[in-house]
Amino acid sequence: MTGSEPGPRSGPAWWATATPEAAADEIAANRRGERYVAFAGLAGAVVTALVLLVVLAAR
Amino acid sequence: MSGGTWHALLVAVLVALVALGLLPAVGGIYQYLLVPVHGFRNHLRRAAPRLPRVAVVVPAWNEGAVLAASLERLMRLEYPPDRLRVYVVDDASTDDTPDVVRAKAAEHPGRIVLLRREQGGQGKAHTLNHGIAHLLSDDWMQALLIMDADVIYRPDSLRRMTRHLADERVGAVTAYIREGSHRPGAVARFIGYEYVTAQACARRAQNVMGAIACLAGGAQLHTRANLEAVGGRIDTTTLAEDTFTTFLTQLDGRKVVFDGQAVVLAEEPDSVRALWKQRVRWARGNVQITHRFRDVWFRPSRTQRLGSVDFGLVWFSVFALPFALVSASVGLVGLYVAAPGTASAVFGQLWWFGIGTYLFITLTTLLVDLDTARRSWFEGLMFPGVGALVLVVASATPTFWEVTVPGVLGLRMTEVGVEVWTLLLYLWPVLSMLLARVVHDLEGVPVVGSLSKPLLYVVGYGPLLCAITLDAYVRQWRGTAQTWDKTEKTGKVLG
Repeated sequence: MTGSEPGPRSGPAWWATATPEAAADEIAANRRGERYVAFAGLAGAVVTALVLLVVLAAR
Repeated sequence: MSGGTWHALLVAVLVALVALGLLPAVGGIYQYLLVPVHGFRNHLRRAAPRLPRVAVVVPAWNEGAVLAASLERLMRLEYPPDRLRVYVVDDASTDDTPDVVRAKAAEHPGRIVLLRREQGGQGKAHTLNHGIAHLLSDDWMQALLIMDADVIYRPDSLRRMTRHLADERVGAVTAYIREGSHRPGAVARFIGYEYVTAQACARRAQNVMGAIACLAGGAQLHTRANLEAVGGRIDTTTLAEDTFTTFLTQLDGRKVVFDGQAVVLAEEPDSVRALWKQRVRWARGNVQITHRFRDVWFRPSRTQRLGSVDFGLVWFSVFALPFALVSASVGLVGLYVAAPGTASAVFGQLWWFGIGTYLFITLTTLLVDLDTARRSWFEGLMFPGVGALVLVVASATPTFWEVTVPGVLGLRMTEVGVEVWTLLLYLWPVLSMLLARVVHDLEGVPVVGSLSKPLLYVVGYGPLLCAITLDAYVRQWRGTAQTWDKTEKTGKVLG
């Protein structure tokens, strides 16, 4: 936990050092990662809307 | 009033009952609309590196089978060892729990402590309070992590929780409890999917709303200040001590935050009977909370968001689910008797709502947690049950089940058959709850017990939860004695 271990200064191995720098990097990465739920929600909504339109047209 | 006016009034009331039955789904859709918002509006922007001295309290009653693994995982957390101590509160176990803890304490000197209650069996809250009283007696602890003996913390999970404490307004943080049984059966896979909806999605939406319904019992991190402000102890008068603490924290003006990227794995019950027992306890606890905090609902406040209209809508959407199913069935069957044409028209208009709700929630849930989706995609699709899916198809294409399918089989449905089929469809919301009880009763019965699992997929997991909730309400109303039941676990969790 000293931050002196060799290795890349990104990704889980780097974050595991739990140094302030690594932790801040992890927070930034998680913030970016969290945007995925925006994609998930929007994708769910778009596909749903498309299916509803198809069913409406087929009725 | 004339007979015609009374009839029109009756029809209007019945249509309103059908509409009332849709309200919980509206609450669900509202929550899911907030999920994408969380992608850009979340508490991570206020998070910062923060590694307080954390005391972990593990309540344990006969947890010998699962404790060794969870303690070992705690010791392997990517967290400074000198800032982490684990206190196992043994609630007078009669198995080898104390021996397991002592062995682990010997392996990790100074980092694992065994506390023993000589008179146990009073429930989790009492056990926790024993540990909390010990921890508050000195100044070492800066934050308290309450967990269950059988959950497995991912190495990065704790520090992903503590980072939110950099915001001084935060009183408590909770993580995402993911179902992680090594070989999940049908019930565990359903629970896995349920946890994505109820936690990974719903808690994110609640983050956006600014009010969290419940800190997960197996992963709740409190600041010392918050713990002291809520009285330095956990409430022992309800069956929902986690929710009670969550509400107290927020009513006192502190924030509760959910971090969906702090993941904790838990083994969940894999039988309907065990699930029923566990969820009756949870649902009764929620009734107690709803009553205890009756002055909070729908009373917006500047200091907390529990009283906001949207949080109230979400809370009561879940609370009212079983009544909604009954309301929808009563409305449709009543219309069928009083005004068959209106019944058919109303039912025919529900297709877009049924398909839309099902697809939007199912697709979003599966996409939000792809790991769980790989394990539980089928249970996700079957969550409302085959019966409810048949209902939605019937609403979208009325002739499909009455003409097309029999036609393929070279059959033709008689008029009586059509009437019976229509009534069956309209009654399905209530029937599904009754059949859920049959699923419960069949389980474990010789010979016919094997029908329980296929019937569960027909009935659906959602209606099963509604049936359990209704049972809990009846028990609570009757004042049935409330007991603390332990859910048996095997200790085989992924990760």
